[in-house]
Amino acid sequence: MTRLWQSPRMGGHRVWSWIGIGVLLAIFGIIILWPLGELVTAALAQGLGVVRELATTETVSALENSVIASLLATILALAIGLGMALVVFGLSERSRTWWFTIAMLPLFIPPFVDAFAWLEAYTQGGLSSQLMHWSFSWLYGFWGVVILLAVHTAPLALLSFYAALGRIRGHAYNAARIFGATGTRAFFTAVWPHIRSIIPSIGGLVFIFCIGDFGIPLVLGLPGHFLMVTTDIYQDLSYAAIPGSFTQALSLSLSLAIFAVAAIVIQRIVGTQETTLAAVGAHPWSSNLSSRASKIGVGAVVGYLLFVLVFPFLSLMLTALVRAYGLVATAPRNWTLANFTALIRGSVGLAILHSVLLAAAAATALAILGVVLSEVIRNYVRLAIVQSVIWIPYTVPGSVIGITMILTFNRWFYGTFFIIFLAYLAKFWGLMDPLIAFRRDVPKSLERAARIFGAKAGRTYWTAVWPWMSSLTGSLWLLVFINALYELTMSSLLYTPRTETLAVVVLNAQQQGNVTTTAAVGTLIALLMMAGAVLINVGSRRLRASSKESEVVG
Amino acid sequence: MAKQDDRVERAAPLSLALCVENLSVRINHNQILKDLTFEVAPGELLAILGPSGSGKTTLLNVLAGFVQPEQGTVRLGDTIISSPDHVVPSDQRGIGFVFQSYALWPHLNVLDTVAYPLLRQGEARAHARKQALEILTRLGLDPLSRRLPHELSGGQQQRVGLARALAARPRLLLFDEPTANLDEFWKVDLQMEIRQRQRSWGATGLYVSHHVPEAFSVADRVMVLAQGQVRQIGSPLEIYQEPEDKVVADISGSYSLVDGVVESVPRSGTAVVNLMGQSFPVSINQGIAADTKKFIYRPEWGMIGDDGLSAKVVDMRFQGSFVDYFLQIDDIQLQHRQLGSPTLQVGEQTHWKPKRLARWSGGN
Repeated sequence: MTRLWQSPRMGGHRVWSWIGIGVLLAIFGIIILWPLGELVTAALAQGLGVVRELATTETVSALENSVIASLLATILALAIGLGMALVVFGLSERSRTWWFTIAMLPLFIPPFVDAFAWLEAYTQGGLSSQLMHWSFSWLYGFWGVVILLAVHTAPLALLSFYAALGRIRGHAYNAARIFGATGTRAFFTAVWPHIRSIIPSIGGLVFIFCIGDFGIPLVLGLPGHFLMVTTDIYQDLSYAAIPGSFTQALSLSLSLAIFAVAAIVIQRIVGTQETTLAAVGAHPWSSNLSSRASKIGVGAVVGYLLFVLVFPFLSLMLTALVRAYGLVATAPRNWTLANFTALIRGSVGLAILHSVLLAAAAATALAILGVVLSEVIRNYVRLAIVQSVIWIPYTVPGSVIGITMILTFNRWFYGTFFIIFLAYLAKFWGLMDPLIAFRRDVPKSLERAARIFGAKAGRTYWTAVWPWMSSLTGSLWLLVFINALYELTMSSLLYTPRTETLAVVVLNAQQQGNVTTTAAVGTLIALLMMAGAVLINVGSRRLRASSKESEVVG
Repeated sequence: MAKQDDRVERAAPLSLALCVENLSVRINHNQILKDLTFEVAPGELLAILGPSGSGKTTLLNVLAGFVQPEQGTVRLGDTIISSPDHVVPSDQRGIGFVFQSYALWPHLNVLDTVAYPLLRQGEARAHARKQALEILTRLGLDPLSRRLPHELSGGQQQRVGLARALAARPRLLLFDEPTANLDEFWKVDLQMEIRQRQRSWGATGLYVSHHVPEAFSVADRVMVLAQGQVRQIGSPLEIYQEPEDKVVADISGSYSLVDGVVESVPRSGTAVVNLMGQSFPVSINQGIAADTKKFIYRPEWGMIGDDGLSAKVVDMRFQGSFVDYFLQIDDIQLQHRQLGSPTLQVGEQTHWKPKRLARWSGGN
């Protein structure tokens, strides 16, 4: 039987490659399959208790709240995202990138910091009431949660719509124009069908994000007695002494996981119907907004960002700067940097160190796992099944992952950083997914050229593959780092006083009413995230440049 | 300058012949190559011609060590480099490869790209670069040595690909449709360059192509592959004038089929052939026997004028330096090519006679 030497790397190194695969699969089994299995087993062991629990009014009402708020937030986010995508896409190519980055920023601010910043900006006593004497009384409760979830996830929709618009070719639109359609009509003939076809998949993504979010319903929902599943789980586990509370958390986790997986399955099924036609050599569609429409659009985006991002962030910063909470925040004489310097001295400094180290460790471990997995799947196509499983934890809400980690690893690692580290690995491995597709796109001829011109396996990877993978790996490292740094849901379930993370410190400070500390840490995190966002942007631009090279070469 | 050139030239090793015996390859249960046997003489360039899916690229991949054979052996000089139970790794074969997609590493500049094979052979970096620069100078590429691949045109990229392939003084040069992605002008230019370099280096080479004029112009011999089997090996002229079956005839150029009878063979290389009741003295190849009933007519193997069989022009295609006429003669249609500008219009009557014919071996 002829063996196809699919990988030049494998020649003569089969034993090592099998050992590598074994280790990888073992890690995959331990951090992903086992915990998910434990969750199901525990639920089965509790038997009818879980089912009974699912039928209680509290569970049903939490589920109902989660679904309705997430649905509404999803619709809003899609509308905002699409609007911004159309406006940004209509700008000149130069200014597009910057506007795009700015419009993406809300995604990079941790949801709970965002929620807290809104409170500082728009509630009674906040900046808006100080300056203009108005405030939103609805911010606590259902509407506050819905609006904040929408604001936070709109960039996700923007990202997907923007990418989709970039894939649409101009000829269909031009053809419609030539055959007598007005600009608007041509848009609905040639462009809208493509956008419409991806709405289910983007909607699914946004919905999963919303239903799994914990920070926003915690900061805005709980004070208004609006309970969602994630906050319900948190409450159950906080009162673990009460009999049945763990069963309740378990059944809530299961129901949330079922919802998330169902949404993903629907999204995958419907999402494959994307009908974007990429004709070779055709020019991309350009929305060619008239300068007036463009001005109105940009004005709307600026207004929106001022309202949802700049003003709240400003309020947060002023709160962080004010000498004592309650003083007029806009008066410079009341300002001090003491809140920031206090952070570094106290337990917060330690928490920052913990978080940064944990996030860096998780990002590094995942970058290695991601690169190895991409290599394994490239050579052993059958192992692509691993790829379809690693993103499940990312789509499953953090609360569920937290619970599965407790079920699986608490007996050995209770109260250690290691259990949080494992949770991060499980949760964020899915983020490394693009590496797999990217690895597949590295032209085989580059590797073969290296082999034929004398390179051994390692050198071949270094010459022909790594230059392609490095910038994406860097960007994904940063993405995991940021996500891990502002991760609240899992660490709030897994931390002990010795293992506080940054997010937990903010949360606790906020719960204790320590507003200035919360604001100072929040400001710090938000700044860090925004710097990260800009870095990722630069990285992805370098990536685009190198893939342009590949077009020439490949 | 000339001195330096000589030195590089002499540095090229004595090339060794390639010998492929009974080679079969099966990939995912599909038989890609079947019982292939052929040899390439030292310094010879063999073109491999074949339709898509004929196994051309797979053959190159076996020779390069990317695919292991199911049976048979590949010998380079006196070393077996591929057999079902033994594959010399690609990096130890001493082969040069020119890729269709150029396969230049995007982050390496021209100089480092060409120095790469030398570095892998263990040369010191400075020395490898010096040698690479010598090769680039010989190919007239030295002004580009600091450029990255994306700063080069397609033709320049492939020249760098050629320089890289020559750099390590390979025992065997493999060309996988090296001009397929180039514009027409660069194609011809690069073909000439490849031919010239391969000869001056004295390297043995295999050149895969599906473009007939290219294969004919660069190669010493041509091997026609179809469905994983060798259909014919011969000089370009043999392949063109004496195709051994329909596949070879089809792939090697246009032709028409005419029925006739060999009346006599006055001397070797000529015959008198009766076509539709008229006798014509024609040049023939060796293979024509007295019982040949069907003949191949290549478009330029005859003439039109005042004598011969009566013909009507039913279609014509102006091609620049020549014109193709489609002639109706009785119940057959025949393609005839004439150099220069058109002299006949569609619908006009003329006469046609053959000057050369070849035996048809492709069945009915």
